[in-house]
Amino acid sequence: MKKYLLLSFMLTFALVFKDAIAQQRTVSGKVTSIEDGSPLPGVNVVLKGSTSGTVTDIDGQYSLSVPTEGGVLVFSFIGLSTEEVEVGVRSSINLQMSPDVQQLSEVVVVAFGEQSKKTMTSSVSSVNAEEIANVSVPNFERNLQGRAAGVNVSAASGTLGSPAYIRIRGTSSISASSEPLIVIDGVPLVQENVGTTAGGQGQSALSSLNSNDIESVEILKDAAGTALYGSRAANGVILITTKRGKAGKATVNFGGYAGWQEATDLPDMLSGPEFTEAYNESVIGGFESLGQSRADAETSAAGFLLDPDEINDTDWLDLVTRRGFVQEYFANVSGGDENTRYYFGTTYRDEEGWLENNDLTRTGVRVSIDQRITDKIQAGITVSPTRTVINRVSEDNEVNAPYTFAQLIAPVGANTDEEGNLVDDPSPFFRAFNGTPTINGEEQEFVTTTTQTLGSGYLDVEIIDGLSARTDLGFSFFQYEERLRSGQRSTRGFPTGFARALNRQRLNYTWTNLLTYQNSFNEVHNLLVQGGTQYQSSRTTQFFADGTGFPGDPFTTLDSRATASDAGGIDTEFDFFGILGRVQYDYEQRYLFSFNIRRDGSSRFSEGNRFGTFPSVAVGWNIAEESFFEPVGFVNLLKVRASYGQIGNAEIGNFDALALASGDAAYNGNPGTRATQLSNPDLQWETTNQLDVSLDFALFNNRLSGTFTYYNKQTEDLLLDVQIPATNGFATLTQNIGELQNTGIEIDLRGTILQGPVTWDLGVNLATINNEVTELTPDTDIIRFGADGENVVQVGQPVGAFSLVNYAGVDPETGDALFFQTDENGNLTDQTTNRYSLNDRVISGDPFPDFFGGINSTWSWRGIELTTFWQYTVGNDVFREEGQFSQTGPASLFNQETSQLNYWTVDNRNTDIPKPVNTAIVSDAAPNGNQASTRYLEDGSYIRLKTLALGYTLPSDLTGRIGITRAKVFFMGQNLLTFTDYGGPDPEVNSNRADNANVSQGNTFFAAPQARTYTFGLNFTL
Amino acid sequence: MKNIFILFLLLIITVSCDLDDIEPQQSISLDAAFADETAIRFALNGMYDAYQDDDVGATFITMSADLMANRDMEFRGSFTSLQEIRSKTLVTSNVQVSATWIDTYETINAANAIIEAIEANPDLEEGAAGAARGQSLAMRAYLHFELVRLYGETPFVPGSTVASNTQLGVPIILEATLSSDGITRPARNTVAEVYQRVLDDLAEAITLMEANGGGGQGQIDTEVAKSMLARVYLQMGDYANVLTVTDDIIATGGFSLVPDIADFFAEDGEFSSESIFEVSNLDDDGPPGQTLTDFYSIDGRDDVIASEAYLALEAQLFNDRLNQLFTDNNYTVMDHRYSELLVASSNANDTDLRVNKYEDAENEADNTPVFRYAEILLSNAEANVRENGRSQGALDLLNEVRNRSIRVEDELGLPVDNAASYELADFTTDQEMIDAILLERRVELAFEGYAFHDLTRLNSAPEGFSFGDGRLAWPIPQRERDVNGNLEQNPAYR
Repeated sequence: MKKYLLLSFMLTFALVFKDAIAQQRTVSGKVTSIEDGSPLPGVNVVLKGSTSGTVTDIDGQYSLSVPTEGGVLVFSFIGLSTEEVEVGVRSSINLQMSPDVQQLSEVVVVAFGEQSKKTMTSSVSSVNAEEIANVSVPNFERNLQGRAAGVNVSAASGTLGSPAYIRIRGTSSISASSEPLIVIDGVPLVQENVGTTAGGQGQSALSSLNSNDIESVEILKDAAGTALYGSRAANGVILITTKRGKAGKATVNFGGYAGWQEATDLPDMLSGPEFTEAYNESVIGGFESLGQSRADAETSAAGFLLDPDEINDTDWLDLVTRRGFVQEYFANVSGGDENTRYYFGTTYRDEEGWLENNDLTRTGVRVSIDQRITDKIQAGITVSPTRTVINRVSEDNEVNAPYTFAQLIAPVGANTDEEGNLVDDPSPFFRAFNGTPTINGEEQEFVTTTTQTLGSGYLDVEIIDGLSARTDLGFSFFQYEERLRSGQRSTRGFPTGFARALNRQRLNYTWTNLLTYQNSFNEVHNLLVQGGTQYQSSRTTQFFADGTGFPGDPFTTLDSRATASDAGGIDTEFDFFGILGRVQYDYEQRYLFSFNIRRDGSSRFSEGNRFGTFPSVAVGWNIAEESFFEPVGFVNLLKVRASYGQIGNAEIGNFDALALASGDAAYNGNPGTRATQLSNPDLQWETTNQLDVSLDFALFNNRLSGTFTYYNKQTEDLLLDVQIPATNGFATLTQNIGELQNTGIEIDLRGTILQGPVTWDLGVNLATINNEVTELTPDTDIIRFGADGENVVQVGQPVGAFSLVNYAGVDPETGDALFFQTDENGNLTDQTTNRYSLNDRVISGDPFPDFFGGINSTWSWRGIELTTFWQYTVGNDVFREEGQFSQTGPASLFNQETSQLNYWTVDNRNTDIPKPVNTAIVSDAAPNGNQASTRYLEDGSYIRLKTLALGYTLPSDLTGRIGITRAKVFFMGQNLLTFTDYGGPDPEVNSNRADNANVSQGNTFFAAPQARTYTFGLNFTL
Repeated sequence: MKNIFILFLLLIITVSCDLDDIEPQQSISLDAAFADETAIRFALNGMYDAYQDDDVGATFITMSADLMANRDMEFRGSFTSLQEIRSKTLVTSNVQVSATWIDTYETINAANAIIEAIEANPDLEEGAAGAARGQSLAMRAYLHFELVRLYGETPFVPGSTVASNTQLGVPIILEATLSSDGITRPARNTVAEVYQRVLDDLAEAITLMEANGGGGQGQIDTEVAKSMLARVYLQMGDYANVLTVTDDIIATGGFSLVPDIADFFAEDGEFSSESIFEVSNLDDDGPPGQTLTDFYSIDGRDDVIASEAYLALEAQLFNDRLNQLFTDNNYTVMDHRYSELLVASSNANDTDLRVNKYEDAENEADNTPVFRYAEILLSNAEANVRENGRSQGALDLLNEVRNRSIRVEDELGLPVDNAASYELADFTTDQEMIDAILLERRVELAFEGYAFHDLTRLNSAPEGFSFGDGRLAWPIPQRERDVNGNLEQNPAYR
């Protein structure tokens, strides 16, 4: 796109110069890109020290008259390094031009347009599409992790298709969504996770996006950048631009990669004999805790004990995990001329997850055509259907989940009988659940099919010089089908089988109209004025049906059910309408000013409160452009800029402002209605006031560049589900009340440390977040979430801080778990007690890192390129709720992590694992230490080698002989190394188990770890 | 070119109008939900639907009493919230304690909304409106009663006057909250106030339904309200009134025991002649969340087994005469409450017996029995003996329940009718007969949510506790006290 804009500009110049010059001899040649060998049209070729010059044509060819002797040709093109070449006596000069990565006049995509980096006054992080193109991830958003300062991406789970949570500059809401707005080619997406039937987080709507189709990703972080998205901008905006055709010869790219993946790590669980020992001890311990002597307790326990000679030894985790095969292939062709440009691409991905029965297949096609109709009118269209089929497994807090079940089920039962058939009641003792981890895998099918078509078309008309009008129509058609069929021996299907069919579809369309006036006056005043409207409408419908009672597992569809056990349907919609305006002015690119405003309305709010106004203002000063700065030659750029603005968040339910009675209240076959929601006509946007102060710099010929930023986000009128006394018949009321803030700094540094035959580029980013709730309701300064109220929203604390009783280890005398007590003011003392009391809870940590970011390093030498990308987070805490099941001694019938073997006994008094007390068997016994406490709170800091890539581009003179412009082979590894003190298998996942994703981001409950992936690939350009 | 420009302007103007009003498709406005007789009829079904919630009528009001007693069943499930109830080591944030509070008051609010809508609308036809108001009053009363039994500081002291029970109960809610302006922060009423209100509401409900009729299948009618009243009086130790009210119910002649108790709990045994009130759970409209089947059934979570103590009761049921028959004549004796309503695992190593009262694991759609005729018979017999001394009349009712389940067959396998009957001469004191009734009651109504309250009403308590122990009261939920400073906490949790 940017090349094309320049092309037309350059062509105009060419016409001016073409006939004016007549010289003695001619030099001609071809300019190509060093990256992919493609011809570069529109490159400026000038004879140094003269007015004589030309531009390359569509094939990169040029021809220029030069003096008979000597002379120097200067080749320049925005975004590429300017080259000077001595002509000598040559009549033909071919040149390969390389990109100037530090080129600061580069154009980046911004809200409703593009802007040169030099005159930008807002904070935008760009993620290089090249860096993420060949990285094997099931969902594109995983690729953003660590790539941009202040953008925290945490994967919900290692299962295929599961979403990631994206937080730009912290969590800025409590009850409304904190996810950024994602805009693909100008079309705002409707984001929701689907497929939560099976527990866990479901799957991301973004899982249908192919990384290879992405041209660029821009993350708008401050109010100046996002204000044009008004009511939906408070959590930041991610702009994704997909690939389009470029003028020039047809370029064909194809390639692919294949490899395998496995879990980064798995928890170490007890073997059958180990479990037997610990379990038997826990039953005896249970009776002892009732005051019985050891001898009496052993007698009481006798009927419950496992006989070590009767047990099996089954490694259930091993049975449900595997080494999965991954492959992805792509092919695209693009090209065009001055009038028509095209891009056709296709991708195919086939992936086996590291969990058995977890597979993903994605097929996608992308077509984009741009057509110049007259010299003033241009139109284009893009359509990209994709189809993603995932064999899903259940997750997290769902016994169906193989990963969860394999950790819960006692390892003393057999998986198969003598004939090798799966056993459905493997334990020699109680079974807490029907099915087994393997039966739930083998005898259950859970297939989701997502068909998503994104499309957009535009018409752009230049009305007069500098004034253009553009209309954009974008749509996304999303169709999601879910088929679940649980066999009659599985946990869910027991005893007669279960089936669910669900179909969800959504049409989301956006119509954007823009008038843009852009001009320069007296060559010093640069002005852009823009006005427009945007309308978005989204409608979602869904139906599902459940059935039970099947004549056998071979009958897979609902036709064969005996009972239609449930059915339902919904139909819901919302719309947004905004009027937007922008003024952007600079004086000689030195003094910069911009003003953005959007007046935005949403059907989600009641009449009279529908519209809100969201302004932002930004100023900047390119100090290095000042004449007094000229002597300081090594400074290429020094810019200070500041922005302030007001942006909104409207991510609540579609009808939260209304007083409603739901029809979902039938009783005994008779229809009924039920009050579900109190009215709140005053409901309004959640508003964020954001200040951003930044310093951009580039030094030493742009070899070192970077940005320092301070941000301060104050969110007020929080859309808060305020708890009200339930004696009113309602437990919460959504209100605009409360305030919170996110402040921090962001540092982004990029440098070329070595240049020459060996080059070394290093990029480092780091960000801090100080998140604090500053005000709640007049009645309350604390709201508790989570199973035991362990996550709090409390004034003076970060959102989701952990309020926990502090674990003090084990009493060496008794083996009792000890807890620290608080004094009457609620402060922690060093007094310990074996009596667990919630009154002793104190704030013990929070899920926000002190700082986090990424380190990207690329070495290259003669076509060999080695890239390492590290991602890190420091100072965040993780509450391992699963510990209350798998690190308890055991206190139940469930398997335990091996750490529990170090439990207290009279011969092992110095330990922090209490005496096991099995409260499931000895029902009168009191729990000993498995209550929610800091025993299960861990430091989640880690640094991880996210990506290691080793590539080799074959010499082009070699490949050129067989008609290949560029050929590259590569190896890519992901999550190869992790350094952490975290005790769980993977510090990166969190399961957001509780009712609120903002509040429970630091909790994990049997979340499946990430994959470690090894892939080998080939890329060709013809 | 100018034309195109104008076209653009037109386009922009076209979409600049205000947003469409989008109506919800699954809901109506709260006002409309109570606007007229038809709307109120649907709202009434909605009230029952709220009651059908697992945290209220369908599951946890029943199961909590069994867990608290921790006597006839052993709970060995993994839910810590339920483990805490079982061991009486509750924390104030216990999710079940919170959920039952929240969802029960939600049902009370639904009842109040109907009562207010009817009172505010004089145009409503008397019959249907009276019936709806009667049902709503009874529901409101009954749920306050259940709440005060769980959350009250200490129980109603059996045999005492209402007014003497000045300990803290629960907030009495008589007004609906239907707008954010109406949100209240009530303090707790005393146990006396709650019981008095419950008695008054039930009396009014009975009057209204006697005049206008009551609800249909699975809903409250006059006999249901009277059964509620009988249970309240029983809890109060007011046996004279228990007797009066249960006499009334028996006198209607509308109920009879089904021939085999197993039939009452069978999937097709719903709404039988024995059923006075049961929560309807349909295959396609089960309660949200967990069901009794889920916890109790061997095919569900299999969290519950019958306790040793409960199994030992079977021998106690067989009096000497019955044992004699058994040993002398080789007769077989079996009690269907054991042989049919308990079930063993298919795993030979696993000898624990499971409860088979809620057996529909396939759809988890067993109805939840709330009042059945056997309870009325046993309450009547007990009250009769306590008030008037032992009598053949009381004994007949006890034997009716007994003989239904204790089956005797001779050596040929032929049934010997009424072989398990007690005779008046078997009892030398009134207390002996009362004990026999209580034993029968415990076995008959086990796993149906009676155990804890039957202990309390007899001045007793679960093992290891004594009557009035503060730990037997549930805490006022932490979440509730966080937002309502007027709610005092129960002493054991302060």
